Amino acid sequence: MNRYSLVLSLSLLAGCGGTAAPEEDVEACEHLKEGPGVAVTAAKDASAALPTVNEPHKRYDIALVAESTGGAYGGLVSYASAAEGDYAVFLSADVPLEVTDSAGTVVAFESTVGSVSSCTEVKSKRVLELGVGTYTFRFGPTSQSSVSLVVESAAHAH
Amino acid sequence: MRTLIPLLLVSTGCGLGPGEPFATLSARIVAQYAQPAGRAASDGFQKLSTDYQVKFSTLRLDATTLELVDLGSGATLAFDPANPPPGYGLCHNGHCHRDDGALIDYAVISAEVTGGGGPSVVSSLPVQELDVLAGTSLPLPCGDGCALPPARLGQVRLRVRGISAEGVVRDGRASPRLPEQPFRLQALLPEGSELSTPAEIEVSRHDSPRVDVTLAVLLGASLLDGLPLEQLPTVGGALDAYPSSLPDLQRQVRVNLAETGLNVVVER
Repeated sequence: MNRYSLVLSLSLLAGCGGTAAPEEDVEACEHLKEGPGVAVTAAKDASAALPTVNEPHKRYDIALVAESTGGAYGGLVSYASAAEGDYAVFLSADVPLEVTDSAGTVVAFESTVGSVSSCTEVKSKRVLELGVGTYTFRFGPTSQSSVSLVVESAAHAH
Repeated sequence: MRTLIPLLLVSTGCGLGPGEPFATLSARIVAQYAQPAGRAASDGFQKLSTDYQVKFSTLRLDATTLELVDLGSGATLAFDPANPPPGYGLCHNGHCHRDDGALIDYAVISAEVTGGGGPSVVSSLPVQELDVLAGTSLPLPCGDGCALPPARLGQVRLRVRGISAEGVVRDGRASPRLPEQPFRLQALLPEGSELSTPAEIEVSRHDSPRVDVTLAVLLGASLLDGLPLEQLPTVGGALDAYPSSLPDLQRQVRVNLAETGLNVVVER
């Protein structure tokens, strides 16, 4: 089923008394399941160039790196926002995530849930407001050695 | 993200005499400098996604023709943009990136996939270079192209040949990656480059015989999004924002241009 058929089906469900899933959930589920996927390796720290995860409608399969102590994994990637607004960050595993702007200021999440109704692949959905600029996503510490990421605009998320 | 296309259809009735076309076209093109609130920085600069900031002194789009297109069999989406056909990469906002870097409209790809009749240009109107920064609003003479045959026009397309810009860039970060300095962008685009937007214009004996089309092009700082300005070579004292030595950066500019906002307004 393509994206449009899926959206149409969900719209029809809503018309029969159901609740339509947010469009960004439907999109994220499709990309987490079907890609297209891009493999990147997170940077251990900010001293190196961070891999970018900017392109919309893509799944980024992020290999996390072993931290120096404790046997945990983590790492950094970079996300460049080209428009001011709400964004939803979908992850395939519920790993710790902190988002900071270029000044190092932490961006608070407006909402965090551990699942969505559209699919079982999403284990974490976090919504946050971004301006135009580059942000750092810091994952971990976690026992997971990898995590898949999809970022979608969430203009109508709340 | 999708752009909502405002479409104004004001029906004024119809009535054709013998030998007259089904409809007569009147077209105008408007070019405007886009200044979204979220990009505003101090001193007239605009923010980029890279945390750099830009202020244009010139911004011109070299457009050649405005085309009204009947999508034919391509009007029906015949592939999944999440899984593009062989030869294409990322698909979004109505177009896919072909492996050679060209941006191809969904309708064209759908026609390829189905093997059916592809899009056909019903009317082609010459356009001149557009001064985006100053703002341009021009009626487009169309001659014989004003006479429209029966058609279902599903797309308005602007053929573009190049883009040029000059201005100043600076870094918005506390520790600047480069000092404030001039930049220059001179891009000669691949043949066939275009900007396009969906439309719904029915030309038949049941519709108004008048079709007034206004196409608005909104172009701004997003043209330079994603460019690592600190890597650009300096030519003649200015950063070269379309360096032939860095084809990936040239491609980024073309992708940014393809994302340019187009609004089409149709009055009947």
